[in-house]
Amino acid sequence: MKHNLSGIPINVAVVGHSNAGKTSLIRTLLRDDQFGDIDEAAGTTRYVEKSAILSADEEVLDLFDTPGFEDSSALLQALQALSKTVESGSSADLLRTFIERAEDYADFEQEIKVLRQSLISNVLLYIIDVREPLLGKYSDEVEILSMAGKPILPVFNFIAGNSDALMRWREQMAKFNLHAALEFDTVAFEFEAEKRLYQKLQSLLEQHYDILQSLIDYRQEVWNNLNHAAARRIFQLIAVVACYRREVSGKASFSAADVASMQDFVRSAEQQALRDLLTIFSFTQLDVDIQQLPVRDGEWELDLFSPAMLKDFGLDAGATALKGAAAGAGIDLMVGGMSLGAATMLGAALGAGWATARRYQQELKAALRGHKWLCVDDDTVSLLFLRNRQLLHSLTQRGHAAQNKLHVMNDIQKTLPGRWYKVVNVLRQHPEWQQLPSSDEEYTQLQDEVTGWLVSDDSAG
Amino acid sequence: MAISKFDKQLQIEQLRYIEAEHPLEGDGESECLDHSENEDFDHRLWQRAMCLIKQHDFSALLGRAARVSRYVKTFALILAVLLGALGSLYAVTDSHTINIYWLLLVLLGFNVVSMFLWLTGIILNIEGLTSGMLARLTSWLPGHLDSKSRVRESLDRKKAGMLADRAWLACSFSGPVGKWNFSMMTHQLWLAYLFAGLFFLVLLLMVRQYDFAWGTTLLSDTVFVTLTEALSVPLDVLGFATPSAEQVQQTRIGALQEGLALTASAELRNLWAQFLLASLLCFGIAPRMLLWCWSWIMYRRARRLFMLDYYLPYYIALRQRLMPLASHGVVIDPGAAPVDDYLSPAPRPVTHALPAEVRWIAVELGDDMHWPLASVDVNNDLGQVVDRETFANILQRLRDDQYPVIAIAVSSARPPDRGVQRTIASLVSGAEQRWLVLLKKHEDEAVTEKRLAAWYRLADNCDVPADHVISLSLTQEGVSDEA
Repeated sequence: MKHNLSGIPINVAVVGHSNAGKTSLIRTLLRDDQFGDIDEAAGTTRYVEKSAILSADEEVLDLFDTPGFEDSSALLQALQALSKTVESGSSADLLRTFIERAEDYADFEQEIKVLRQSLISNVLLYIIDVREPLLGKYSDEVEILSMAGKPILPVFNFIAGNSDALMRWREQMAKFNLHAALEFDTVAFEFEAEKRLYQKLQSLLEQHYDILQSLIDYRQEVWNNLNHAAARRIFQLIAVVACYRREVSGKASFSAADVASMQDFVRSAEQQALRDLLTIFSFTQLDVDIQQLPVRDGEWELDLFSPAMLKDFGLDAGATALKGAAAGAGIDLMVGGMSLGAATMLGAALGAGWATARRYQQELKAALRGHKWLCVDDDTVSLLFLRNRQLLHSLTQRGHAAQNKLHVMNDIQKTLPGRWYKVVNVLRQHPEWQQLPSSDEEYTQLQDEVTGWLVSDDSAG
Repeated sequence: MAISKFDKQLQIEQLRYIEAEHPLEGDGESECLDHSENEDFDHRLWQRAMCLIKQHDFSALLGRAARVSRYVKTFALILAVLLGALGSLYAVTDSHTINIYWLLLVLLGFNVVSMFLWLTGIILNIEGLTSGMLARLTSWLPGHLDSKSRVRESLDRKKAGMLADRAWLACSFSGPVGKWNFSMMTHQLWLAYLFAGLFFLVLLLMVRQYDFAWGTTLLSDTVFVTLTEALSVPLDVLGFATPSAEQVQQTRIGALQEGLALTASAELRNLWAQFLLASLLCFGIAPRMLLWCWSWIMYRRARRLFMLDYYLPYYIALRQRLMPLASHGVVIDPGAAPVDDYLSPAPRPVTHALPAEVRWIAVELGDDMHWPLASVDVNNDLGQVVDRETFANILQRLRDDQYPVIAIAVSSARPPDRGVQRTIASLVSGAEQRWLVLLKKHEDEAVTEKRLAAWYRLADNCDVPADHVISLSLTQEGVSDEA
């Protein structure tokens, strides 16, 4: 790990009243739900803890989590009293004198740590819980912090659903000439808000503009990669399930054992995808909770094949849909055989002949033996897509400070993309794509298309 | 010898395949990484791979597929040489007369068809056409041999070896690398076949005397005359001697039999021999050589452009470990541990009623709580503390008039802090009876045990008896004894 080019990382003190969400903000920025302690009781953090935000292994921001202010009014009075007894050149000197006499102010042990850190930091992030009323003690906090002579950036936390309160707080901060403020909800996370935080720091710390820009670019790249990786993982899940086919003997309906085997396959595939998605976004399995039935040991407990699931996602639950089984479609030369057909027409005796035989050998053998194929039905594949799209949306809008468990059933977007069934149909014609990842050009095109649906804002919501 | 980027990536990918089934958490992984240099993720991955390979002694295991592939390739090349030699021998050794066009068909016909198919595959990007049968066979053999092999190793290492082989095949024989690798192999095998054919043909022509002839049953003679003229055009340009139309006619089987060309047979033999060898060079070996060069260049390019799929969860997780977005907490200014109110809850209140002459003071109520309450007489309301000024005013009133019973109303939903405690302690210091009223917005508002315990602790610190802590719902505005 290295320090940035200017030799000194930017020191950022995260300050504010107790329980305003200082530790939560840092957790979200670090993508680490294990950082610090979060509790509803005041004074949970009683120490100063340092962590660093890196840009490609380079230490750019040193974040200092500080104890919360608990009695700023008394502190301000003590400072005012001290200012009458000592001669100090500036407000910052007064704070230094106060810190030097810490033993005389034992009640302010926590606040003195905040002051000490504020004096040696480049910028102060003042965290505000906008749900709090506008009380005098908060004004006192700003007044005390401004004595440190460092740029202050108010950060409005818990803003979701509190727009009126937010407006009042903005006006309140404007009275202290703190017009540059940031809306950053540590629970209902938005990556754009994180970017705005660094951009605000750029305007406050002009000399560090370039290194902050490189940090913004790096974080954006990483965020895009995570989203893309997650979307691709969902596509792979869809592909592996849509491509599933199992040869079943006889012409009669599928046996319970055959259907159970198929269902186990689908469940297992989805569980693996769930684990991968949580890994991608650095969430632990404990974060996940599904409405009605919680996830246990990192596994979906709301069964994919339960009728409630189909109903929740607005899919028409037909008789077969409950089991998720469907008879395999025939060989669709118009879809799956496009490339092979083209090759055959060219008279490719060796290569194409080989590929064609390999592609259809199982179907041909099954047809000769009088067997049929068991596939996963369209409703189940669609349900998988909708459920995992919703999960992705939840994961990308969840701060690492969120204390409530993850619910994926809220605000379900039930609309399937326009070309959805065409894509599924093409996937069904390529059972060989179960062996992932495929380098097939057609597979890559489908992957790009579905990934595009998932990462675009329109479909994710 | 410096290892190429592709070979590094290949070994990293082999480890990925193995780790998908056998986690290989190396001891002291971070020790393997050199954090002093500003290295990219690729380099970190390679450092980690080297570390794991060394720790688990994987060098031989990871190189096995490449070794087997080399053996198979050598075997295939030998086979191609034999086929080429046999082709020449079969076409010319049955008699002292060589059927020119039959020999050309044996040596060049299939080669030209194969080249045409390969070019079609490249142009239309059809995988099945870019990899010929022989090349496909060589890619299939290692996997097949692997499954048949009986390696005297532990089960885990055997499985790891199979996974490594599978990764090697996936990297070497799929995507652009695979396409050009196949292409290169295809051209190499045909070159071996053609060179062997040419060599044995030259050998035979040097030590034996052959007459050249051609004939047809279905086609007219002019077809072969025209064909020879067409083939001669590039040969003439390159300076090879080629037969004229008349000389072609003289070599027809019927003409030879009639003894028409006997006087010119030596010259004709030499001419046809040159034509034959030049055709092999010009239409067989040279284009294959060019295509092989092209494939080699494209193969090197494909290897250079080869990228690991960093979108895979495996690499995402590794990136988070090897290239963390943040370094995590270090306490630099320690403090006393917080008091855990939940583990030491204050005693529960008993039923009690507020006295009639109580004076009310609210402390830092939220915006959603209107003060004074409708049930509080205006004369009994001393106001709400919201800042230092209101606090000073109320304190002044308390000093001016001694009130024996003081009730402090607070919002039960808000966490009590040291400032609130100091404020309440100051307000109730002169009172004979002290009450703490926990206001709730409505009866069903949930207040956690922890929050409740914190208020009781505050009451205790302010000398408010536990049975004087009561709750009041704003919807009812009647004092209840349930807290």
